[in-house]
Amino acid sequence: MNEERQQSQPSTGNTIASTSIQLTVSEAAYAIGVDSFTILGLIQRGKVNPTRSPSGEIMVPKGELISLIEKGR
Amino acid sequence: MLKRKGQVVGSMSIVPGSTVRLTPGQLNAYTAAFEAISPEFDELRQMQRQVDKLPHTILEQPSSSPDTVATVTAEGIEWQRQAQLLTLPKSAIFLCRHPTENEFAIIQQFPAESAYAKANGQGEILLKSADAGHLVSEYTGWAQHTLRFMASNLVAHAQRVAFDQFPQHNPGRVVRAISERCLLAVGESLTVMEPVRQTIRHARGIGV
Repeated sequence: MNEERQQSQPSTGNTIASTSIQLTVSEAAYAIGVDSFTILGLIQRGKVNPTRSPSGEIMVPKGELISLIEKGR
Repeated sequence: MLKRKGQVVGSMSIVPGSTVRLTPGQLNAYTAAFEAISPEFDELRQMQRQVDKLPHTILEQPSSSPDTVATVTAEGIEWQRQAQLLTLPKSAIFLCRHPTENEFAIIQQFPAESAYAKANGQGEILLKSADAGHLVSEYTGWAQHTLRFMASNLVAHAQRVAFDQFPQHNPGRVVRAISERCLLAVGESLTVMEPVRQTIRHARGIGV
């Protein structure tokens, strides 16, 4: 996974904190082996719940991606 | 030398896909901000070209004989491929027909090695209908909406770069130029411009 960004609290190294890491759409796409168009489609279909950065950019919580690739939905 | 708000306006530049005139400082900011979204902007334009052709896709596809028809497995069914609708960087979208029933589906196929496919299967049904024409039409609208969403997000990303790195160069104006270019790329016509005063609030990008 390339550049990762934490928007909320600093990581404390445990699992819960690491899932609060926020990824841009392209970073999220890279992480699960799809493209940006697919990530935005998953958001539109309610399969991924994003957040927004202060500039309005869509951010994907890492925990959302983990749910997506561990369980399937 | 002609100046406005302390910035030289004698040598203004217009960038592709925009009517906004930029000073040399703003042009530098534009270049940096646009570079940050450039790979995805290219993807966006390529996708838009494909979506523009979607309504004609069914008519242009040669019909396969039942012996040679390729299949896509989704939800445990081997759907027969009728037409490839979109080629994405890491997947493809097909119009497929149910092997035994009068039903069509839009299916996205992922490479087996992708983490998403390993968890969710290689084929994912996006839409289903008994009417193939209606299905393609509905998917076209859906894909167009996703592209606008993508364009909006690119503007927001560029906005972050412009405001963080070039706060002194009227980043709102820079973002407006990028917003216009992204809108144009997804087939949106330019709306009436605000001609005189530019403030940060005027350039929050485009929303979906």
